[in-house]
Amino acid sequence: MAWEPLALSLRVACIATVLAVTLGVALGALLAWRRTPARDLLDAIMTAPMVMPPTVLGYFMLVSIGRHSAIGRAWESLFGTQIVFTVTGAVVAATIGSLPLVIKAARSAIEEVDPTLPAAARTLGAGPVRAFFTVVLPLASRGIIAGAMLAFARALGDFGLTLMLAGDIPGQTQTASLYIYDLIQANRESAAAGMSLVFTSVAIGILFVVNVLTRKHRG
Amino acid sequence: MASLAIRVQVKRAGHDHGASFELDVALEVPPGITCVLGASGAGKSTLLGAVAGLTRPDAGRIVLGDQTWFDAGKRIDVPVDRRRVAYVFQRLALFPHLNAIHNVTYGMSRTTPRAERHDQAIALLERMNVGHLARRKPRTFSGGEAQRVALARALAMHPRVILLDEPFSALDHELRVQLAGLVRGLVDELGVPMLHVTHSQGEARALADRVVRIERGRITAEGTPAEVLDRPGEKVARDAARRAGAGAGDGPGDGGGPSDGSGGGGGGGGGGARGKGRAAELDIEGTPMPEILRRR
Repeated sequence: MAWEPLALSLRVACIATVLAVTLGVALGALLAWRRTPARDLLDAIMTAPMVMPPTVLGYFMLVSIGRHSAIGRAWESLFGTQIVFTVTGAVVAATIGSLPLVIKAARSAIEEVDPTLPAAARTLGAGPVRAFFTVVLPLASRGIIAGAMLAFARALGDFGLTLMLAGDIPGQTQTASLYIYDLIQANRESAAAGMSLVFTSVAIGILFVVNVLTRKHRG
Repeated sequence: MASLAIRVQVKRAGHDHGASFELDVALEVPPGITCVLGASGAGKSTLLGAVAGLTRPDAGRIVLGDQTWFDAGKRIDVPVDRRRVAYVFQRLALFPHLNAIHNVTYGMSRTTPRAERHDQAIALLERMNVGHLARRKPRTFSGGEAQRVALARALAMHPRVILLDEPFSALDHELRVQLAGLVRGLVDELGVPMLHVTHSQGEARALADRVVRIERGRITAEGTPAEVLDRPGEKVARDAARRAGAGAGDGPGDGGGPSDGSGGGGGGGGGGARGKGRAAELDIEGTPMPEILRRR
């Protein structure tokens, strides 16, 4: 059995989770802040990737970061490679797919923090940034960890958007879910079953570990 | 010490069912304890929010001594974290993820070395008689213990003004009297203005140097506890007459309200003297001043 696709999936999912959590917490905090203008519209735009067909989302992404786009050209001039049809494309795909899960979880967790607590921090001399990082974020961490956990699972199993942005290049951008698809297409069902089993075990194992960690965190 | 001069207007649009609300008050808070009495929704907490900098008034000025914290006309609005106001919230707002020491050190100057902050926090907690809670988190505290830790946290920042928003409302009588005595001693020692919001006339009578009554966003009576609580009708009538005589100059934002603090300083001395009398009253009521206040 080829292990590279699984290793690539894990690597992509780890990087995508870090990016999604960083961006998602910032955006979730923005949406949780009452004075943010057009919050409902922003929330709808940020949540859209959860419900849009991967092909449509992939099309928009190709237009935005493809080699003929401004971002794509800038990236190529800076790093000498493209975003699309590379591992970077796979990371972007997994990040976009998992970002709404973190945004939703972070917004909800931040909104659940008693607003008196950051207010108390402010009266004690903390600026808004310190109050956020020392009071709001630690108290919202349980919800954010849960969001990160879901984001990781989502990034690990991404198929459609990864196919659109990174392609299915064996040894380069072929993640585990794409590999399984190829195995089934090639009528190699026993190999697909083995890979699926490994994939499922790894996913459940990781989610179980994170669940245990989250429970300890609560304790 | 400087006194606090407040003259603010805060307008709030009505929510789903409620009518719109307007707070329009002018008062001078000398060093010592000023109790703010009033029903729920009268505007007491809004007043404290404006002083702390958590609520932005629509008009008026807030001045402590020679420092202007807020002036709508001059567009001055000192941020809440720069005012050094100790605010003890009704729900106390102790940080649940931090132990008592870290709650207390939170507001201390970060230029002070960490070990020193730690020692100061322990000393403050011990002074509040809750030294044994130093490494415990707030969820394990009883109501009275949480109050003491919240007071220690508020005092650790060397406040210029203290605001208490009904912090004793959930406690039994004995504990309330005990903590009121503790607060009395601390305010006398620090010599700063304190606004203490309460529903309880008994608490105001025992604790306050001055009492302010707020109804529907307006001050309806102001004076010593005896003036406001014992002869309220007479006092209200006299205040009404005085206000009528004061005429148009009473509007918010005019220069007459906040003083430069020198007058307040004089008032402060008086407040302190009255304060000791009040503390003695607590003794007379059968609840001696806690021993802890006599340490130091």
